[in-house]
Amino acid sequence: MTQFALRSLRIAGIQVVHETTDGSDGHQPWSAHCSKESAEWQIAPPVCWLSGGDRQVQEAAIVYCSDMSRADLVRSVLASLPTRTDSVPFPDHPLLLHGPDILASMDGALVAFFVLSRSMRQVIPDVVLSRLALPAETRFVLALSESFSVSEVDISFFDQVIVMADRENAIIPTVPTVQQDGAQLIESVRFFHHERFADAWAYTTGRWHRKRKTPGEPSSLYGEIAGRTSQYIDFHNGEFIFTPPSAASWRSIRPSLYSAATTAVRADYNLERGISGLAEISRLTSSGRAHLALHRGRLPSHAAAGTFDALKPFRAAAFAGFVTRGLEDFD
Amino acid sequence: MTYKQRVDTLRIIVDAHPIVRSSPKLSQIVGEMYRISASTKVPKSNGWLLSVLHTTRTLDTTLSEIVRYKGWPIQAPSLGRYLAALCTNGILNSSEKNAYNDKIVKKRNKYMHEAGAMPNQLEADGILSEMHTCLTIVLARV
Repeated sequence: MTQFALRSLRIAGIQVVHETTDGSDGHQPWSAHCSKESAEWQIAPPVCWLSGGDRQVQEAAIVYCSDMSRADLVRSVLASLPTRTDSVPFPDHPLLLHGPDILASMDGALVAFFVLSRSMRQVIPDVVLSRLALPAETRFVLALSESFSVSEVDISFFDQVIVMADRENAIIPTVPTVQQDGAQLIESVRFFHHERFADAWAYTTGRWHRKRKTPGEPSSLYGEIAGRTSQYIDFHNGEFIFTPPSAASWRSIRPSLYSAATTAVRADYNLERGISGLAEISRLTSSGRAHLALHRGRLPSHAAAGTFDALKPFRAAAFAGFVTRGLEDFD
Repeated sequence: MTYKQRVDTLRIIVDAHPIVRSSPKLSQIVGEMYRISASTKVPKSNGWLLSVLHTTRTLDTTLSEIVRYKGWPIQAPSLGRYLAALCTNGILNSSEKNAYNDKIVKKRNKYMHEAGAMPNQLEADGILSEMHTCLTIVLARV
């Protein structure tokens, strides 16, 4: 058990009472006796993923593996799921440009896994959009390798955390109770987010031309300035404007569109300030002092033509708040 | 992304949704989604027609079970009335309801009821992706 894993246990509020070594190298502690809120248990590999044992033990897991790529992490998590789990790696959700890495139906619960192969700053907007696009009861699990460090604030966007430290080691379930403030706060903006999506999609598809009734200022004006704009993205009066080069191919536009979407989500929900920023936006939107603004974008009408669901880029952009039109509509 | 990934994604979302899970029709709904996957092996228009058929049966039954679970009254079972009930109860707004009526109900009726009507890939793509979107939106909001 590595220092990072031990730190993760502490973040989860678990006290490691006693460690033992596996006897093979005599260095790495192999198991630990843990306690939390008067409950005590032994954690050691191999243990089945989220099955058997104490209910608290079932609630969360820490998997130890090291230096793994995103594909390795995904494969490792998939391999550790119970045999009767229905799962799909890299799911294709109609509203998401970049959703969870794995979606699984486990014991009647929907579980979305994010493997951390990027910075948390990049991942959190995907988590926020995914939480809003999936049913409210979905459990979100973060799988990270020990080379990544995460803060307690970042973890609060998830229901569980699993740490990958050694691909040959089995799964070591441990405690749950990371803070789940993120889930509750995101839930408080679900209505406003879907209301804006409905408007953005109606405008994009030309079905609605009425002016929106929007209380207060755009929520993005409350966000941090840093990182608001990037390539092909401008910011004006709370609205982002996405304008890729007219000759760009869809293949080259997609990363820019994704970047624009995450930039907007980060600003709309003040995610630069983490949970406290999201909490502020939740209060402001609920009290009618701020609204989620519509952003604007241009996409070539041939975007994703020839692939299944050719409208997905436009729809997913609308889910992030962008009203998009084909380039020819602007010229 | 492949069509199979989309269907697998929807099947998992539907299968794990608390309202659908409480339905006695859960196994029929999930079975219908496996038939969508199987229909991709049937070539060209026949395969697309089967995809539209099985997807619309999935959508119809899922929405019907949601409406029944919520106790929302409807005059007669039909996709149009389920959409109306979802609109009345604030799950969809009127613009969304009208859009799904135009893009799903009317278009799929043509292929379900008109002899010789066969969708090409582009037409099937439009109906299927709208049905997928409608399903995921409703399940995210109820």
